[in-house]
Amino acid sequence: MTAFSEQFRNDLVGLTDNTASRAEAFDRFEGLGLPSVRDEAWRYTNLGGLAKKTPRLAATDQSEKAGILLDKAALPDLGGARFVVVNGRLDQALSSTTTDVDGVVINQTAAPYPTDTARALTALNKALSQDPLVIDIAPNVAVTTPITIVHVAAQNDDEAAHPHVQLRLGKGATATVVFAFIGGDQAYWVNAVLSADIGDNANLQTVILYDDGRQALNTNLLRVSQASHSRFRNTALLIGGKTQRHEVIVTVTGQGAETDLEGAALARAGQSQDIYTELNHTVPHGTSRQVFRNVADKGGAVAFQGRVVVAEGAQKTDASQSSRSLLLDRSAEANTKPELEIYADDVKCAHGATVGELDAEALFYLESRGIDQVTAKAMLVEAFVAATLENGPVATFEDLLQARVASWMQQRGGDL
Amino acid sequence: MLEINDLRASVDGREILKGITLSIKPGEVHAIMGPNGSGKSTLSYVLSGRDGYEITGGSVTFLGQDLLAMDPAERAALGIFLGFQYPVEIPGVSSMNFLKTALNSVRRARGENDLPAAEFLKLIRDKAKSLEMDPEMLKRSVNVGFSGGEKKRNEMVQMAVLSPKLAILDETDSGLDIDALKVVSRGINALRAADKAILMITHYQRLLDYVEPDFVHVLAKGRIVKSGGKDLALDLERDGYAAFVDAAA
Repeated sequence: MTAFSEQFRNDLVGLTDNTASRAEAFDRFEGLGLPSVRDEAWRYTNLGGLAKKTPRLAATDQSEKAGILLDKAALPDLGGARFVVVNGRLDQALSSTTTDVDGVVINQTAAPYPTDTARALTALNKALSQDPLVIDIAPNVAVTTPITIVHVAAQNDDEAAHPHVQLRLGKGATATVVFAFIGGDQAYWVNAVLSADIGDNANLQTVILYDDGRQALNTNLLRVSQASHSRFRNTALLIGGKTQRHEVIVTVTGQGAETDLEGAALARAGQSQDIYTELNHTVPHGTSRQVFRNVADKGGAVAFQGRVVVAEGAQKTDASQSSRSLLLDRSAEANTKPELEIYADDVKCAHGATVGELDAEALFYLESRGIDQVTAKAMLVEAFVAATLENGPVATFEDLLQARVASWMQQRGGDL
Repeated sequence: MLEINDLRASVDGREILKGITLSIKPGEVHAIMGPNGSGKSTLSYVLSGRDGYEITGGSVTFLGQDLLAMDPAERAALGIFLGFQYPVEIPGVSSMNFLKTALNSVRRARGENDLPAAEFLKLIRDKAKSLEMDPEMLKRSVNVGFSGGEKKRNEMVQMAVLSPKLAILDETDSGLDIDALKVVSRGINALRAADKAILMITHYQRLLDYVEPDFVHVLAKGRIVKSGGKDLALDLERDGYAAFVDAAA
């Protein structure tokens, strides 16, 4: 790990704030070490490349490059506040005026790091993140237009960014936040921590689009804690990069909370996409529902690992999990692994996992009506993932997600 | 229109069609009847181009073209329609989107433009209404949650929208109650025209009470063992298939 230490000392030269806590977090990271495929939770994401070629921290003054990437991505304007984070740091010039909504406070300075740093990549994020974006939503405030937070990687080859966003919803607050990860064609690494603390009776809906450039590594963590009777829903689409990992850790600390995790990953040749979820039910009467649909084309690999932990006292927990994977080619790879750890005796936990190919009967039915095979396959794949990408909180953004899936199938074209 | 000449086909190396010869001219309605396992469904799948059937001999031309060289979508564009015995459920694909994509695919293959949205909606509503199908059902996923009768009516809606030149109807009457049978029969009769033909594959006589065929053929053990007029169906109903099957053995 000496390469990382050396690089960290170099990176630290440009970071003048919180040097003590950065050093402490880095020691923590070094002690834990980079996750390896031998770690059960990281079986399907190989970070070996990072050890061989240790990335340096990317410069954050890249508004111009980021602006071009933003234009290219053509994300819809959802009407609410829009924050653009460039190479890990909030870019004022590209962001909209912070927000006009009463009760929403953007705080960039004194953010206590909310997560414990038992996770190596979170510790590294803490050691190297710059100006965390902290959004506080006051009790009982309903933010009616979605907040957009775009992470743009305008990075060079072998450069890293460690964005950090904290959302804090007071009691009874409501908000919808859309995240997008976009970037150029360089071999960059983005290691974000998105954190949400949801108060009693509060309701947070989030959407995450992972649309990184074709050589990128994305290791994002979405960390959520839910107080009593709160509701949380996240929809994710992994559809870019070379290696993308969507890791969600939800801890339910208050009774009667509802959690919905949904998403889809689509991987083609040379791509690896890994969805890892961990749902910790620590108190009674929690409800959680997970639905994931993954698609792997020729030479692509998708994985889903879903852990549900029901603590001894968490009676009347109702947890369900469904993951289905579709292989479009013999050389495609899909892994799916539900993991249920249940220590309570009066709970409902259901899970289902399947891996299969396109339904030949359905394909012939469509073709027999005059629909060519390329179009027919696209219809079936879009329908397969639509189960997770529709009826969410932001119709215009869901349209974008579905259009992205359609263009993914189109690019695939006649390559059957 | 359709010329089948000594057609032979196998599944997993087992010969199912053992030399079928049949000629269908525009305006004609043919019925193929036969016991279970006689090759009726295989014939309909081979004609519509489904995977998994090996053609081991013979030929099929449709409108002068080699049908067996085409993929299923090309056959549909040329005017072949298969009414499925068991219409397939496709979760996530709405019937509307399915019909629109199908119709426009067929139109494009024929060198026509896409049908404007308003005209398409009117067409769908008219066809659904004439087949006593609630247009609301077409907003749902294809055949998902439909009863057996609704699925068959949906087949007829698709057929009416695509307006094929040759409709091959594989046991379209199976599983229908008498009311649904009447509606479906009306759908079939509506397609009858001087430039179109219909090939009904059925196990029972009762569909033929509503859709009167010009010709009836008996299929047994992969061969057509007898052909005749509509009265042949009545003979079959009275005497059963046994005599024909024995004759084919």
